[in-house]
Amino acid sequence: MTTRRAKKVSFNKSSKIVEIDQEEDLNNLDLEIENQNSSRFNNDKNNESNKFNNDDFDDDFDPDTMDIDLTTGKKRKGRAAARADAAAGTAETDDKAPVEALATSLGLIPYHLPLLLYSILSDGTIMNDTAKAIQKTFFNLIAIALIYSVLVGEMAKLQRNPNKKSSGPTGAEFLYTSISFPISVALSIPIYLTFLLFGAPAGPLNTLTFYLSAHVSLISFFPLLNVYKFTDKNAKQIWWKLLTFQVPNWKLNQIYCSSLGGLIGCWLGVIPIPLDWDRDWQDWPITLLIGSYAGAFVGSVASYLYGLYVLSKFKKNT
Amino acid sequence: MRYLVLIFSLLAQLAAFLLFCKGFFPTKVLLTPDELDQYSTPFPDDYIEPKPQFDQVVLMVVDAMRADFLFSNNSYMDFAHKLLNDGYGVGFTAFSNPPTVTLPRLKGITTGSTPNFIDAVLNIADDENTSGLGDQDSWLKQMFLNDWKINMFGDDTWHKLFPDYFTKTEGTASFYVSDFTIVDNNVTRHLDYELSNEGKSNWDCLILHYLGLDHIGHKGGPNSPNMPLKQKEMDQIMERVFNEVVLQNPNSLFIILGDHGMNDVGNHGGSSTAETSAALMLVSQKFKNLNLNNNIESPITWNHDYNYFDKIDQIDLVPTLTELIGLNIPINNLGSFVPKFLNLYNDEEEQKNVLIKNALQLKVLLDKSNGKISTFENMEIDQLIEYINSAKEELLSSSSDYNYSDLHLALAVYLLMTILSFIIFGLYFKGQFFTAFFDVVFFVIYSVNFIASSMVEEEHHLWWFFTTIFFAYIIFKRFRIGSISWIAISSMMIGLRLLKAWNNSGQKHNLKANMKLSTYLSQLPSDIGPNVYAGLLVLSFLPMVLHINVKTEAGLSMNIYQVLIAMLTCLVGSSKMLAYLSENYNINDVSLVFPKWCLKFISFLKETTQLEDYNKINNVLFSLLQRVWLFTIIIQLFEPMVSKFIFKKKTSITHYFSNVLGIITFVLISQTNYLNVPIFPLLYLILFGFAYTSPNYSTNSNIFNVFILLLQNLTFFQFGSTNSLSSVDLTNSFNGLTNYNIFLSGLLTYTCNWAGPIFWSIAHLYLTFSKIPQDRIQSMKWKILFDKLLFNFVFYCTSGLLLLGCCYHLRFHLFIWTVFSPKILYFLSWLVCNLVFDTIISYIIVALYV
Repeated sequence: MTTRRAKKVSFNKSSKIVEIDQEEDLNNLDLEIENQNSSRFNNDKNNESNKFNNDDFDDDFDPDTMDIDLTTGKKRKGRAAARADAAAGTAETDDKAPVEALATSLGLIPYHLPLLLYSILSDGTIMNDTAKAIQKTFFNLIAIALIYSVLVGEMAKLQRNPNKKSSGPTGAEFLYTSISFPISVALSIPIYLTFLLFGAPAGPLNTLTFYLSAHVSLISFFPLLNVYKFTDKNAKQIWWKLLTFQVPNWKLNQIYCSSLGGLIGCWLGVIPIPLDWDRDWQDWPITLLIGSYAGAFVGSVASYLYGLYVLSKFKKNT
Repeated sequence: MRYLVLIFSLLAQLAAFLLFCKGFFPTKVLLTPDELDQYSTPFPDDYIEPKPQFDQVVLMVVDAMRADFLFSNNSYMDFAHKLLNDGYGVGFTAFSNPPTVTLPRLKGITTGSTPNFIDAVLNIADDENTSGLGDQDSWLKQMFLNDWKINMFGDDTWHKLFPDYFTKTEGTASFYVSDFTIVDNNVTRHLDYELSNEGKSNWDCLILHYLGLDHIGHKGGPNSPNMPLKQKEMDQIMERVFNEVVLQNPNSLFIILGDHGMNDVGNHGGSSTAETSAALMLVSQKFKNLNLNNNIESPITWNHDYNYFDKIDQIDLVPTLTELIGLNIPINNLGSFVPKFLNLYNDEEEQKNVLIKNALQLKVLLDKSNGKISTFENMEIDQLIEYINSAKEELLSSSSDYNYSDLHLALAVYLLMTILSFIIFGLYFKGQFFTAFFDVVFFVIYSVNFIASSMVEEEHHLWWFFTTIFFAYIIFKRFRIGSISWIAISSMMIGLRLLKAWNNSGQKHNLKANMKLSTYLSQLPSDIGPNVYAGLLVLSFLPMVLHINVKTEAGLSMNIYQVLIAMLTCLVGSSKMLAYLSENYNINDVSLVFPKWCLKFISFLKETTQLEDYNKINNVLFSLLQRVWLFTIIIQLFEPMVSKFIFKKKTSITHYFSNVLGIITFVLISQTNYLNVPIFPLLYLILFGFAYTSPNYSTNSNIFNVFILLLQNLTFFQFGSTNSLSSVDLTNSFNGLTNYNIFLSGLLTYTCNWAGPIFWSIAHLYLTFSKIPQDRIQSMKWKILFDKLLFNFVFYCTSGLLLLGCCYHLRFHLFIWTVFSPKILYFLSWLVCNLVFDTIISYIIVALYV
């Protein structure tokens, strides 16, 4: 295991504070350092396929070798050594299964989510008959999520082969969608179990929790499944990385951010439940549903804006 | 040196907190006879003592009888409705001042004073000397002084309050909480004699206190299937008393009241409308033609506000009763005479005199609080009623006073300690800015929640939320480090989830819909339940027994431990099994089918101890257990020293700490409520899961501190505790004690309620010491403790400061006595836990490992 020297503060016996050097696991380094070691391929693709004018990008630009902070565009100090150490250890394994990101784009934003959310809330039945309303919305979500997934798939295809004109999804791709859809519906079972482990109520509210997990599965995992196809080479490693949050440059990975946003929103959705406002919408799982819809949309938009920000910084610097 | 600084700061922190409590909870100053003379106003010249209306009183207290149980169309008390409709009965919805617990309520009903917060605490402390009213004036004392003969049957709280006043009495302890019938039959069986002509000549006041309805509420809530039957039973008793007393004697008064209400889950103690709306009904022949109910037909349609008939304060009963029976009003009474009953007096002069008596009694208190004697003019009836009401209002609002100089000083010291803690923390974590930053952010996010009263009530949600985030972080960290053990991760998460499912906590979402494993366990039928429970007991002892056998080297010491541990297991196991059998089922009920071994087990215990009462058998088991336990822990603690200096051998570190943890767990299990015992294997599951999943100690000490803090709090709440005083568990407070000892029973109560946190503070030692290599222990051991101590110190400083600040800021808030004050006391107990277990006991355990 590679190590680096890190400074750690400790008291010595005479109660003065001294600094001692201590070995620290490489694994504790923050995310960005690791990201940089592994995202070479990814960024190349990014550059090639970016829908903004690629001429602006300097051929030299490669955050891995240049050691540039993506947000500030400034050169980083003192990390080169650590990076070089780390590269020897991890680069090899990472290169085998790079997690490609689609370039951020307005087209990837899930516009349907806020619309669906609006339709749920304006309807009002969710307060009275939660199970019925959540079921109805689920069917609406299926229809729109299928269309969205095809769009995302097309976008992925276009970005991977920018020179080839696509004439719409092929039969094989439709077949893929028709298989991936039931898979992501089936994914709601492990999601449901995870919810249960993380404290979802068991008992009469089971059905509602299950519907919630089905929603979350369609919002967070279905689009992801259409970008990172299970038919791809290395699909297992890629999905492992996605699930364990080891994705380089995840802030620029719009689909991934949307998924994360959906999950985090769902998680934060529990906060209003214990408050004593005694409103109808504080019932399980309404706030979680709202949280995951809103979170997925916000995550996607935030990632898109971050992409714009990085681009503008980059333009300014070159 | 740095230890001294830290321990000194811990003590200063505790002292500041205690000072705040002193200023915040002033003890109530009662009126003394001297002051009575000093401030009393003479009666006007034309005052004549009003004639007594009644000479015989029956008071029937039905514990937790909410107004709607008696008056609404959901009530099954048909006879009571008939009484109301016929005009014999007068109904009220009586507001019972929170805390809505029996002891403070009985004080209120008898003395007419509002309870102060300390009463609620004393309800728990249950000490005869402190909770007794002593010489305090009450209508019972007035009756006693005027040679009334009082007979009392029912809840023995009355005995504690009035040990001397009763002529004939039998108390029923509420030992079998799950028993709905025996407690009440023990009261009703006296009625045959007491209501006979001979019996009636031997009492002037008869008090009956029925507990069954409250037990049903605690067990199954207000809509429990047992409720209709119990209400009908109470109704029949009313009918009996009415026919045999009220109809026989025109000068008899029959009072039916609930001491408090209950909420939708069946609990009480708080201040919700459902808990404070108790029923009150006065029945007499004399009311028949006065139309005191204003032609309202009973039963009344159920309403959400519990608004039935007139709303009065429960303490109004005190002046009303004493005036109606012609006695002096208790001197500390704050209630007002219910004006409706003026109709009983024909003469307007007499009506005026009744009110003057009440007004002058209140005026003494008013003058005393103002420090000067005001004048009392001749007034008309309406003016008198107004005077009484305004006096009452003023006295109620001024009944609590804060000692501001204490509060300010305490806040200043606490603030200073917090700043100090931040400075030390900052210096200690100088190189790891983000670690310290996240810790502080976590502390602050937690503490900010004290502003919201609902977040104080629902604090367990916060800890669950933080814990899941933390565990998700740990698991993701493990994913990146590699070498994932799925068994460890899943056992940790499943253990955590089962812990969460074991009990519900909090007030609002204490839903029946949420499956509670402990209720499920307690509701098993008698032929299956004991088998299941025995299985769970075996599981509970498994980790300790395995641990001790696996980690100890073979040899003499191992044999000694095996014997001792076997003894402990037998003793704790049989006492918990007996508690389960005797408290969950009525063993003497022949209609219940038990597994054969249960009956053998019980008869074996009875034969060996030569005792019949299960409570006493358990006590014998406990006193034996405590001796064996003390012996075992002493042997274990001194083992390293002995083997080093005598046998020149080094004790293995995992052996030492795992054994200490195991032995301490035995005493914790013995002090835990029998339904919570199976939580301990879950805690072990989480501990082992975390030990395998957590990263290396030397670089991540902070993670271990966070883990222990989170689990301490989460476990505390998942034992069923809340931040409300009503959830303090007293079932194990007197284990093994033969006579009352405030220190020992306090210690036992504390261990009983803080069993989870104590387990984790000892587990911290095992967890960290098993994570560092043997050769670095001597150099690291004090650092480990210091690290934890500092972390906790900063946590308790930050959260304590914000809590005190909130309480100071919200001191006039509606919920200050029901939500925030109990939280202050709970926080004080946490400080004690930090000082005693996380600091002193941990220090001793580590110091003895040489």
